Amino acid sequence: MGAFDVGRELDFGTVIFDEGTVARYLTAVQDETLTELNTSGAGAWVPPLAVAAQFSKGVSEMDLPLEALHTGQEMDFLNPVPVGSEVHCTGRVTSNRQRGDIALVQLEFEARGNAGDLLVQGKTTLLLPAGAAV
Amino acid sequence: MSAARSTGAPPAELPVVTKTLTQESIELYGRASGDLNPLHMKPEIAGKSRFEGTIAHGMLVLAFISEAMTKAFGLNWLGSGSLNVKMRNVARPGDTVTASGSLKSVKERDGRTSAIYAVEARNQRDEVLISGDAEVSLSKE
Repeated sequence: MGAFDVGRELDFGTVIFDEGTVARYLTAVQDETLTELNTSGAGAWVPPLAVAAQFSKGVSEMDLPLEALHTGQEMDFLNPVPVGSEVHCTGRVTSNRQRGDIALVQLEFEARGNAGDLLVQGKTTLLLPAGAAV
Repeated sequence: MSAARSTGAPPAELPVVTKTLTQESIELYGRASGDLNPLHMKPEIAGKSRFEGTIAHGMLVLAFISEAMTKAFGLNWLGSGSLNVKMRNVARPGDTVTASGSLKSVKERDGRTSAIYAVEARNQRDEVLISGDAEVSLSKE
């Protein structure tokens, strides 16, 4: 099965969002708001986009051409993710439309906790040169 | 910031979040997220692309919109938020990005109330980088 054949299942691996991982992410996105929230006594939480970024990481490792772009993102945050959580990320190719020189590939993704609880789900659309989306 | 789950009236406008991107901050994000695409990380390679230089990760710019929602809704956003956005333009090192949002509607469904915001991120030239909707539950059991 080709990398972007419709129905292909993708395993983006398991990530432990420990304090260091979350701190590095928050520093990188210059987000002081969640840092304040995480030290306010209301619990310590993983930014949902840090979870969703695992899919971008996984897609970036799929040997795409340099100029592949994400053109659309949909995502639902279904439960707050506590710092320290182990999260497993998977995906699936749901469409692959060729239009002349380009291809629009849609991937669905989801992130689940150790108990199988759904934490984040969504869709992303990639714009690729048509020859690369096979 | 609203850290607690609240049932108050949603604000008409989200707090504005403004950040300036540098090549260093883009590379910092790449290392933190694991997305090491040379289009973001390697100026000498990205310079040969049609972008003629590096561009920021779309998810980095999207994080600024998420921060605006976190500022307004705290934990409600982290556990019940939704985003549906289009990436309209790329952001580059040196760009100053402003994320903002305006309340579009409040809806009731199955006994729950949600607020929907039109959200966007623009650069210093007022070009739209990302636009779309963000939805958040205003109450949660």
